[in-house]
Order: sequence, then structure tokens, then C-alpha cells
Amino acid sequence: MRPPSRLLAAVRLLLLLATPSAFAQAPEHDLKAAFIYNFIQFTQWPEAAMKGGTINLCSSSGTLLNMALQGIAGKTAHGRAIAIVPLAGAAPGDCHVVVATEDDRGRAAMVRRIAGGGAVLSITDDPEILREGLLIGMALDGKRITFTIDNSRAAAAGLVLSSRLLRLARSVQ
Amino acid sequence: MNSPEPRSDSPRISYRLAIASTLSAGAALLLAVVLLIIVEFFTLRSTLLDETRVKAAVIADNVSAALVFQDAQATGEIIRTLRASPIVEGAAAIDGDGVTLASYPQGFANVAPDMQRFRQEDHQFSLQRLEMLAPVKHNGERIGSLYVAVSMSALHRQLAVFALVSLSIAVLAMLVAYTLLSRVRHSVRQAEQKLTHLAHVDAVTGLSNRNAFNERLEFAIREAGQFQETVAMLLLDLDNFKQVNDTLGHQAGDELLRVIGQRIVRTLRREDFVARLGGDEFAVILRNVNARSEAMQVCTKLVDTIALPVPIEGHDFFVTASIGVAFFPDDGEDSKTLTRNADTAMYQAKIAGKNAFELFLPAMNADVKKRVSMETCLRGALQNGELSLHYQPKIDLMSGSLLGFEALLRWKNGQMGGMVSPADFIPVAEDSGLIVPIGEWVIEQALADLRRWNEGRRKKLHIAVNLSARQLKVDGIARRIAQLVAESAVPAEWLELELTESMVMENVHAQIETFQELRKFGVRLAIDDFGTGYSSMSYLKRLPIDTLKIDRSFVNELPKNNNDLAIATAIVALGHSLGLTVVAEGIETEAQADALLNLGCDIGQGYLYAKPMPADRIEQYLSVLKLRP
Repeated sequence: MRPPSRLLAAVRLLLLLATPSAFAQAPEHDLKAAFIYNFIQFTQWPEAAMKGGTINLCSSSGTLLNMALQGIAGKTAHGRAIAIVPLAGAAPGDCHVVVATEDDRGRAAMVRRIAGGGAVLSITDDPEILREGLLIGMALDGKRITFTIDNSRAAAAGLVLSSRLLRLARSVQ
Repeated sequence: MNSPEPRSDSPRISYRLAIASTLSAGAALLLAVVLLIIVEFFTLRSTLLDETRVKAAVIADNVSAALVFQDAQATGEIIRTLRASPIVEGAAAIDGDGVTLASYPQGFANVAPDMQRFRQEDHQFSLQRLEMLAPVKHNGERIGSLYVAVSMSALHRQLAVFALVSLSIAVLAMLVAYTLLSRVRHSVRQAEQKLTHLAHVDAVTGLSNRNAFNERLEFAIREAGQFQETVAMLLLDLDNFKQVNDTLGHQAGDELLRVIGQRIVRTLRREDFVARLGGDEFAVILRNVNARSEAMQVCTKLVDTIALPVPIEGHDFFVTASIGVAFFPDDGEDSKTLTRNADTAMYQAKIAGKNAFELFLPAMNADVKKRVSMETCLRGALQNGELSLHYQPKIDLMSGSLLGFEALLRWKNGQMGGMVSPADFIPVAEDSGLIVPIGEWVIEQALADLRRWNEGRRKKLHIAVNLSARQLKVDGIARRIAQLVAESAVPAEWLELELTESMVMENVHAQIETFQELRKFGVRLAIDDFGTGYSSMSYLKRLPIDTLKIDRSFVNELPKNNNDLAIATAIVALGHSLGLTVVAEGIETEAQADALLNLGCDIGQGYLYAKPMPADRIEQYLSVLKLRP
């Protein structure tokens, strides 16, 4: 069974992104965006949370990571397209995914509020914001990106993170 | 010497057969084992493939996230879990671009260039290993491959063990089957041997039987033909066995046969062969006979040994044997001819007087043929009126007057060339039993003629008729003769029966009753050819006889031969002292007649007085006599 050619192209793109050579040259934020896309793919939301036709990824506009995330906008995961939604205008319940960066330290309360609003996969690359109770924390270890997962909190939020993903995490709580 | 069948090469053949059947069974088993090994190989390979596919699928599933995140370390850790399986030689995770992300063990060959090989199928078999390329999928998309190489050595080991076990079982099965088979074969052979024994051994004597004899004779002939040797075949028949069997019963008869059989065996060499063909008939095969005299020596010994008394139930019995001998190849090239000719020779021995042997001569066959055709002619002789009686007058030596006649049988047959000598046809008539009806006809005819001639005669004539040994053995012969006399309506004392001395003495105590009975009916009895046999004086005294006839051999040279004169004198004296009439036959000269008259002999018979004449001439003879003073 051959996948449709458009899908094949998308995969090719992803695979291109995923090659070590691509990792080596890709800017740090593009790499992080690819990781975030992969996290989405290995996460299962409760059915009730998936009301709309898209997976909404809330991220503060204007950050470098947000710009990189634009690259995965429109890609599909779980049969839904990913939509990048500005974090500022978002209300609890709007976001399926929240991505916070160092720049969001001032909006920590808001991030916390939105991230705590049900089945939300919260991701950050900032250790400080991670302490606000976010689920996945990314860090740069030399040229490699590593991540930690707070699986008990994810479970409490109603998310199921794939065991395959958990096994790749540097630490799992 | 009496092992029944000639040793053939059948055991060797059966051994070869057993080897051949075992070999073919072995070949079949080997083929089965090879087929089983092949089937087992494919089964094992298929199992290995399935297991490897499952393993690869599990690892491929586990490694998908690691591959997505390009986490070489995690990928390596996951695929290294395959180390738990000792048959896995190595594995590698390859990403979507065909780049190896991780592999184990270290330095495991990079298989990426070979990925073309897995286009058709997900696996490749080679002699040493099974290689498998399992797809790594994420969300239904192929994101890479897992390459696993599995060693075939374990499979080969399993296969070797399987082959070894199968072969061992096959060999074991062969051994068991062989043992069982040979046991069955053994019992079959035993049964066969028993059957052969039964089929080849005579139950009474324990000697070989006719079957074995036929086989042995064929064998001996074949062998003698190859080596240009001579084989003598002896056919041996007991002469008076039937008497023993009839008087003493079958058990005594069997005992007699056993004793005779043992005597024959003891007389022969080890390499000779004896069989009992049935009844009182035995056969002997003498192989490699150098000269006819050798066979004759054996025959002489056999005749002598068999004639020795046989003690049965406290009595001594005497049997004699007649033996016929035929030689291969002189007297016959095949067993049939040989047997027939030996039989002919044996028959001649019987005719010649029994208790003797005869070697086969080609002339015997002619004799036998002549006898057979004579017998055929003789059967029709009575009906065709070919038989007639001639009468020789018997004269009172003292007065010269006629006393009566001796009736002599004559046979004239065109096919046999006119007149046939009684010396030729009487034995044939005796052997065939034709003598019985012929003898009765003689008595009837003689009495009828005599009655005619005695009509109106003051001094009645009497008639002497010869009685044969065979006739004497007929049951109730005395009453039968009395009946014939009565039917002829003549007084019984007109009839005198002549019996030869040897005939009377041969079985005297069995016949004495018959004689007494005949005498009671009034028939007179004469002993013919007296002086040629062996008479027992005690029997002679007890026998109810009236007349002694001096054999013509003692009359021929009278009166010149003193010995004959002495014998004739003694016979006349003996006869007279017992109150018997003495008759001399074969008188041809006056001198003979005078001498006999001087000795006191009562009656004379011979050419001097008259030759034997047919009945019509007797009428003439009687009428001439009447005219005499």
C-alpha cells in the first residue's frame, strides 16, 4: 500500500530534517521545533480534548522558537493539522500544546494557567519555567538535545506519552 | 547315505535373497530418512524465519521513537537487547536515508549497500546466516529499517542431531526387522525341512521314498553324465512278501520290510542310495560303478542277505528277492527308460525262478513285447477255439493194454505263427491268471471226450490233466473241480490231476488240505516230474496221492546209464513201498520199456506206444485197438 505522494513528500521533509547532517547544520531552534513535532506525535490526547479539526500549538509570538515552529505549522499529527496559536490571546482550553521559552518567564502565571487547563502538553527549553510544572523540558547537551518528562503530571492531565518516548528521555518523573 | 534330497545350493540363494531384501529395505529407509531430513530442514528454516521476523518486528517497533529522534545511543541500546538471543550474529538500525544509526556488535558490517537484495523479500537465506530487513514504522510510515543477521549454525546443529537420531532409529529399526525376519525365516525353513522330510521319507522303513528316489536318480544321472561315469540302478522286489503280509498281518509285514531295508543298507557302500518305492519294492542307486561285475557282486550279496531267515514274533520267515539291474548310460539315458529297463530285468529274474538277479539286456524288451502280445492273443484263444487238447495213451507195461490218456494243451494262433509251444505260453497264462479259465476248460473238454470214449467200454479209461501252481492257489479249487466233474456226469476216479513235485513241495502244508479235499471227492492225484525236486519223505507219506511219475530225464538213457537206472529203481521201490502206482514217461525204445518192466514200473507213456494225438485221431486209435486180439 503506497502512501499518497503528498504524504510521502512530507515524510521526506521530516526525514531530511531528522538526518544527523541536518541536525549538525540546523539552527538550534529548528531542531527544537522538530523535537516538539515528534513529541506531539508520541502523545495521545483524551478524545474529549480533541474537539476541533486542528491541534493547537500555543506559543508566544516573536520568539526565535516561535519562528521555527512556523515550519511545522500545517503538518499533520494524529490525522490533524497543527496550528500555531499566539499564546497571548489564548484562553485555557484553547491549546493542546503549550511551548514556553526563556522569553515567557514574565508570563509564567499565564503559562501555568493555560498549561494546567486540562489535557495540555506543555513543553519548555527553559529550566526556570520548567519548574512551573511543565511536562517536558528540553536542554542542549553539547550538540545533542536531551529532554526530561514529568510523566506523573502528564498522566494526571489525562495525556498518555508513548513508552517509546519515555525511554528516550533523560529522566522521567 | 540316505539323506533324502541331494544337497542343493538353496541355502546360499536364500542367504543372498536375505541380503538383497535387507539392502533394499535399508535403501528405502535411507531415502525416507533423507526425505525426513529435507522436510525437517525446511521446517526448521521456516520456524527460524518466523521467530526472527517476530523478534525483528518487536525490536523495530521499540526502536521507532529512537529512530525518529535520531537517538543513536537509545537505538543502540534497544537493538542490543537482541544479544539475549545467542543465534543473532548482529543487528543494525538504518534510517530512512539508508544511513546506519546504530549497530552491534562493534564493527558489524554496514549492510546499507546491500539493501537492494531485500527488494523482493524481507529476508535472505545463505548457507551461514539468515538476514532480515524489517521495516521500522511510525504512524504507519516507514521511517527506517532494522537489519538482523541470524546464524544458521544452530539450525545446522539441530539438523545434524535430527539426522543422527533418525539414522540411529532407522538402523535400530533395521536391526529389529532383520532379527524378526531372520527368526521368521528360520521357522519357515524349519517347517520346509520338515515338509521335505515328510515328502521324502518312507514312514515304514525310514528309508527314502519314491519321491526322493526320483530326485536322487535324476541327480545321479545328471552328475554321471557330466563326469562320464556309470550308474547302476537296482530294482528289488520281494518274491513272497504277500504271503507273510497275508498270514501274519500288516504289522509283521512292516517289521519284515524294516529288517530287509536295514539289510540292504548294511550291504551297500556309504555313498549308495536306497529307497522303498512302495509295497515290497525297493530301489538302489550305485554311483560311479566301474564294471558291471561290481553291480553283480552287490546283487549277489543282496540276494544272499535277504534270503537269510527273518525272525518275527518268535518265528523265522524266509523271503527272497528278485533284482533287475539297468546301467546308465548303456541301458538308458534318462531316468524313465532306466527305471523301465530295470523293471524289465527284474521281471526276467522273476520268470527265471526268483531269488535271483538279472542285468538288463535289450533282447529282454523284445521278450517282454512278445509276452505282452502273446498275452493279448491268449485272451482271445478260448473264445476263438484256438485251444485244443492232444492225448497221449498210457499203457500197462505188463499187459500192454491201454489204461487211459494224459491230456496235453495245444494252442494254434495265426498271429503267433501257428503252433505255440506250451513251454512258451503256459508261463504267460500263469502270470496273467488266464490259466484259471483255461485250466477249467481243459478239465471240461478232457472229461467230455473221455465220456464219449468210455461209452460201451467194459474197462473204463481214465484221464490225467496237469494242474498249474496258479490254479492250486485259487480259493475253493477242490470244490470247483468237483463241480466240473459232476457237470461232466462222469465218476470222479476217472480224473487224475498231475502236479509237479516242486509245486507240491513249495508250500506243502498250505496245500495238503486242498489235496485231502480233492481226494475226498474221489479225484486221483499224481506227482509229476518226480525226482527233479526236493521231496520230503515225511510229507510224501502224509500226502493223499495215488501215483508217482518218474521224470523223463531218468528214462532217456535207460538201460545203459547206471545212475539213471539206480534212480529209477529207487523211485519204483519207494512208490511201491508207499502203495503208489509208478508211471514212466518218455519211453521211446523197447529196451527202455523192458528195463522199466524189469524194475517193476506199472505204467508207461511215450512215442514207443503213441505220440500225443488230437481227439478225432483217438477215436481211430481206439477202433484199431479193438480189432486187435
